[in-house]
Amino acid sequence: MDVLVIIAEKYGFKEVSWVRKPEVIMTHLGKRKLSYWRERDLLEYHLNFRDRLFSKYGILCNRMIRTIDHEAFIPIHQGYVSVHDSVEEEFAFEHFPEMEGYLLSSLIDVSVDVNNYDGLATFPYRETLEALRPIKTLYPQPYLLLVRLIPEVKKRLSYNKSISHLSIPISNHSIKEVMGQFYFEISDEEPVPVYEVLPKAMYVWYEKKGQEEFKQCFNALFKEIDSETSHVLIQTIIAPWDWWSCIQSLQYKGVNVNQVMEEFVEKWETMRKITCTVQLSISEGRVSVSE
Amino acid sequence: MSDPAILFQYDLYPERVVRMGKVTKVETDRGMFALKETKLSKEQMDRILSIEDRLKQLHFESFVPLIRTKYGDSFVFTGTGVAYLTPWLGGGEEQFAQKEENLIISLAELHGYTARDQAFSEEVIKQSYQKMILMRESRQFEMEKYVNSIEKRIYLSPFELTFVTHFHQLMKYCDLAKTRLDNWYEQVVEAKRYRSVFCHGKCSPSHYVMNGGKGYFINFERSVVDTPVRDLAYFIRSSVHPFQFNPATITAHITRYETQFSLFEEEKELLASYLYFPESVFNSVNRFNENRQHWPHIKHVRLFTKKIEVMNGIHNVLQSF
Repeated sequence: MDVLVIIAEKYGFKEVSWVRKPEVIMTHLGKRKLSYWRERDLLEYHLNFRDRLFSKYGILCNRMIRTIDHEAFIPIHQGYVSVHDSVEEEFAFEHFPEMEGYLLSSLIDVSVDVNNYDGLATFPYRETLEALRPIKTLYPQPYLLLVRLIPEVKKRLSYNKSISHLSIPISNHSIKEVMGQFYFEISDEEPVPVYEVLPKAMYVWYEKKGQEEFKQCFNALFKEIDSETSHVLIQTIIAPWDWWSCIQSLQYKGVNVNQVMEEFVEKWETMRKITCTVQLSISEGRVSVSE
Repeated sequence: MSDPAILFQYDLYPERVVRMGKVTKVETDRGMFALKETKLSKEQMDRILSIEDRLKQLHFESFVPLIRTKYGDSFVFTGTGVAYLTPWLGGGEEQFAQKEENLIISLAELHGYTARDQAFSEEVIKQSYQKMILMRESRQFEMEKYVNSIEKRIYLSPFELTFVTHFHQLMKYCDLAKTRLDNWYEQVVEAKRYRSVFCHGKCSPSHYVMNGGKGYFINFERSVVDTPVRDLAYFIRSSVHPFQFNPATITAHITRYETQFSLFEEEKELLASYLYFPESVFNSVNRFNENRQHWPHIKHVRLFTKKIEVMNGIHNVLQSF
């Protein structure tokens, strides 16, 4: 049976037609987006996560619209299809730069609930040192630099014992606006580890937003969370992921060393500046950026 | 969260929005709806939903069901509380007498559908009895303090003079309320029975709407499991209009209620006790002292005098009850 016919019947939509096959349809209630899922586990993760994000923080997002029988998705061919709002208006970030910080902290908190797991882990320091050894013979110059940075690496690991190993669904997302309200459009992809998301977000905020907006985002990130979690997140941010990632990239022969090292140095320097900016909060154990 | 953002979750795009007290009437091309924003917590809303499910199971149809959002939620978090949507059902004021008649029948049906004998515990009954005595005594004490304070003055205002004049009578009604409460306690202990029903909690004509000749309860926010007398007494008090009071209406309401759901003798004593206690008159004193409505002095006096007349009318009804 045709997807449109099934959707019209299950959701009670009238006048259903394709706007952009196979993703967007038009119904008597307006445009709707379709998501196709192969893995039921991933579908259920997203269903749960999006519902909780709204019920706990009131953040509008592309939740699953229910069928007439209150089902969140319907089986179709070898997988499932879910129906969502189609929102087009972009969110005016310039008015609310702190929104990204608030969003990240909400996602992390919801992730704890959804996984029923606090996600604490330690930075793989010893494993990274092991991985450093083969670089000595492969790339001697970069090796020397990476070794010289070890004291600073240790310093960057001394703030808190644990880092966050949670994952949040924030890859390829977009942030929109509906009825004057912030609307978070989550992609249907696998969730991404917080230890990847947070340092990356810090780089982007620092490089693109400028000092003032960076501070607003940073403050918003820590505003609603307890001090224990904030310590974990700060450690996750300042942990030497740049150093770790550089070592991972230099494991094999034939790597474009110059490019890898250039990227590494750039990231390392930016992180140094970020750490300086948030130094006061780190040294005093309070969470707000130095003014 | 703004009203449009709430309504977006119902796929409703209003053509006209009218604020009517605590409810917003939303007119759309899909019909008319009532949007209510409340300060209720999630737990309280969950309780209301379970009550709604229970009423559906019992095939009790005299209530307005909540409409779900497109995401399947029965209510929406607004940041400060929750909002919920129901179909808009409205009746004209011209049906008022009919509305009260329907309401009392629906109330009796609701109580009949949900009545349950509770396991008798003298300790629980005693605690309820003592709690009620304590609450009433503290209210009486407030009034005694008030009368003592105004009696010390040489010149009393018209309101104060009216209050002092009727104070003895009010205390007599308090005593009668206590006597009927004692009767209730003795009879319950003797009969060793106590039943509870699902109480609407704020059963008044303003929480009941008529549509197509049928009546429906709205606003179950204060609902509770308790004695049927709780709702009945609340309804009788709220349906009394001091300036158009007719004692025969109370008798008619009770008779109509009992055609659907008979009260036990001890429950009648409890109802009499509730109705004897002059809470509404005492409230007039607070209203006079606070005067939030900025009424003229004479209006307070007139209302107080009318309420005393109502109490006298209730007394006449209760003498044969």
